[in-house]
Amino acid sequence: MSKPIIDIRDLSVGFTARAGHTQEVLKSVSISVKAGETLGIVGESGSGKSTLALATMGYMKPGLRKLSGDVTFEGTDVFAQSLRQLEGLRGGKLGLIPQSSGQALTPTMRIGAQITEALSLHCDLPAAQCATRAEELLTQVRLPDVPSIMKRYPHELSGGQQQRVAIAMALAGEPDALVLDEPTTGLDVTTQKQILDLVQDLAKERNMAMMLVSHDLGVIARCCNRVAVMYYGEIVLEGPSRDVLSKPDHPYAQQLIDAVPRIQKVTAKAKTAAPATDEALKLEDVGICYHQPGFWEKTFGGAAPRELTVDGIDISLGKGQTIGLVGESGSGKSTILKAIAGLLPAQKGSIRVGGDTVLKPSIDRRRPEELRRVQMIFQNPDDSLNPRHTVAEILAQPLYLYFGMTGQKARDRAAEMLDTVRLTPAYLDRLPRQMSGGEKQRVAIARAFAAEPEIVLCDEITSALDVSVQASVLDLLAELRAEKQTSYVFVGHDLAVVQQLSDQVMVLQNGRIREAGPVDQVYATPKSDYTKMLFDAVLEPGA
Amino acid sequence: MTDAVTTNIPADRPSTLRRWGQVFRDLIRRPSGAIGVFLVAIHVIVALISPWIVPYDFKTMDSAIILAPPTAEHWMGTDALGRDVLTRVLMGGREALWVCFLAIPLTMIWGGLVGVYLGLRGGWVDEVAMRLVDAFLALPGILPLMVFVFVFGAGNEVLIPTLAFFFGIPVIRVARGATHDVVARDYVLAARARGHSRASIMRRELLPNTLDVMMVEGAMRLSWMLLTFSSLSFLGFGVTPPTPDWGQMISEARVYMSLAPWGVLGPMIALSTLIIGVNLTADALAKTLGIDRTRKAVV
Repeated sequence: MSKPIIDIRDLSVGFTARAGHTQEVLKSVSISVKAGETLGIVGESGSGKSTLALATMGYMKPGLRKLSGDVTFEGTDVFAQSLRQLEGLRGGKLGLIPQSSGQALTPTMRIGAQITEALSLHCDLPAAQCATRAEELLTQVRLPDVPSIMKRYPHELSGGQQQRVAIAMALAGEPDALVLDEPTTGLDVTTQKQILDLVQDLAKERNMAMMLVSHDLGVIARCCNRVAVMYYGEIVLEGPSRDVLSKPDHPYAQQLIDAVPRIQKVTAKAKTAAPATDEALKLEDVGICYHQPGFWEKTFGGAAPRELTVDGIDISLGKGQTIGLVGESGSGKSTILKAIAGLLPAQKGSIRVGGDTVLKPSIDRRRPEELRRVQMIFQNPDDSLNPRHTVAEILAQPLYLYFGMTGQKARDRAAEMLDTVRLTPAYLDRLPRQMSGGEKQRVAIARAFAAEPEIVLCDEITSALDVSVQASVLDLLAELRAEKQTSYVFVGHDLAVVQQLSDQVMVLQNGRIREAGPVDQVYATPKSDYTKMLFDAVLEPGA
Repeated sequence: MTDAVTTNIPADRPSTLRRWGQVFRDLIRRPSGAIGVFLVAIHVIVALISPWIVPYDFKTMDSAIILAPPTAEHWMGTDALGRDVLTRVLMGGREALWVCFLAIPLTMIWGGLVGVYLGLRGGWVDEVAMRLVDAFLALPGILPLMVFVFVFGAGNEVLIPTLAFFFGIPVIRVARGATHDVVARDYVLAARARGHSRASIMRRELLPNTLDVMMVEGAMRLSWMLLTFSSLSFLGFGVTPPTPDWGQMISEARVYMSLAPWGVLGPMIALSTLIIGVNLTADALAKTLGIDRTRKAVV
């Protein structure tokens, strides 16, 4: 058996809490990675997986310190090294690929110059050869038109291209091991698949040891030979990925894996389309443009007609039904939601609610009663709840605005709303920062439902949540829909989540409809090539 | 299935008052904050009680002891009119503190409200207003103040609104910038989507979240305003004699500096310690609230 490249023994990391006692973030973690092996580390937010990955590089976030244990890399103790020796190690034999490389690349330096700099730090190459080597590296990470990429600045590249450049930089030092910290979070499914394929190929070619940290079990399943499941700073389960992901031998790991939504195999006729109900929402040939006419154009006219960002959108949604909007980033999913909410006035077409009321394009011209009927829930509850308001104050706002409720009456109603999202009235006096992500999103849902809406617009509302929390939030949405006959327009990038909740699905690309229909039909027999490509890119544990 | 993480923080409503109480406790725990608050507190206390503790009357002249050096009777000597310098130094901050402590809240309210409104409103109104602000900022600071005082007189009823008006203009810029940070957040978008009015969005969403920046800005503006007030007095546009004021005292004693340096030294030390105290407090407040002043462009 070959010797491990990265070897972590009984590593404990912690910080000193206010009361003076030591709080452990990692609790005597032992794990090793051999050459040619890819180790996956999964866990929910706060489980310590990033801390472990960074500790491998001899780095601690400010405030953290090593309590006990060792980290050895190719036989040298990482924490015994001087800062200077560590600098030689990091980016040299041990490479890091961070989560958002857009932020890891220097914005004011051209790509070519950045890679050349990395090369000059870690290899003894004459300057002339550095440029050639940089070109080789960029070709290796399968970037098209390398000479032109070398001359560009990071912001001129797409997210996937930036990630490739970061990989090329990590390869510059001829590493024996790579640490990947959520390398594909924030990328589209299709781009994610390409990046993971690339990383796998490179690992095979160079026989590198890799440590891949991710909250996404699908990513781990695709790339890793071995998996370690982390829970509150401990590795609760470790083993070959096939065993861990198919028959996990630990209750938490089992729970985590079960919570991952999977695309259900359906045949086109398995479920007949839901019976036609009263119309809740109808969009006819809606077109939206990001450019809104300014003061000058409104007054004097004469502006050239611009191309619509989103065009030809037709939606017909019954009461208690859900339509899922899917597509890559930039496909116009969220734009459509904003148009329905009136935040981004539609230039063309009509939006109708409840079969009779035609909504004005702009929110400023809609009446409060019309606004009440359409409510929106946002992606990240950290951003959509005012940090200075308590839950009671947050929920009181729609109650006052639409029903004129104040004081004790509003408070009682707010408590009732909390009850509908399965939270106790004790939450009324909490501030957002005193709640977990899932609890915050429940409050955001309660706020939307406080208006007693007919249509709720959900913008990627589970993508900021951990999988287990995501499952409970989705269940809640389904229950509320059955209870109140609310219709949802659900935007999501996770095809399995969309399938779970939707009756209809609409696939968007570049602001145009590529395919639309009952969810079972689209999922069973996708017609357009684009839809097929989206399905191909889906990663599932155990698939 | 319940959420994996449940928080066990006791549910309490940290009222605004209690929050600022906590901020104050954190503030004086910093060395700079403690020194700053101590200096300001000393000045405020002296200003409040000086009429009862001063050894002499501030306007009593004595031709026998003109420009006398410090003695047991006159600890800081006397000025060109034979008045006790210590008495005048102790009482010389009263006008400045009174005027500035009244003018600063006015400054922050009008500048803050206009700035937050413009940050939310955007569009051509914002564009036009900001160009006006730019035009005002192009004027040398003290000149328009002198013109106002010259035209309308030097009473506090003129000085306070004038100072508040001119100091509020740069505040508009800061408040507008702070608002831009908040306006892009989803909770403001959510409030707009619900159909709240602009006034309601300003009151509920924007003002509470820009308050921290405005408090620091207010503390910083206070030190500038105290300095400006003293400059006006120095130039003869502030306090009317014989009311003692540091700026005016420095101006008068400057002529005799080679003969009687104590006449300048007293008011100078008093004014500097007050300004340093306010500045230290403002810096410590910024650090306590986690506002990085080096990154915010303060105009």
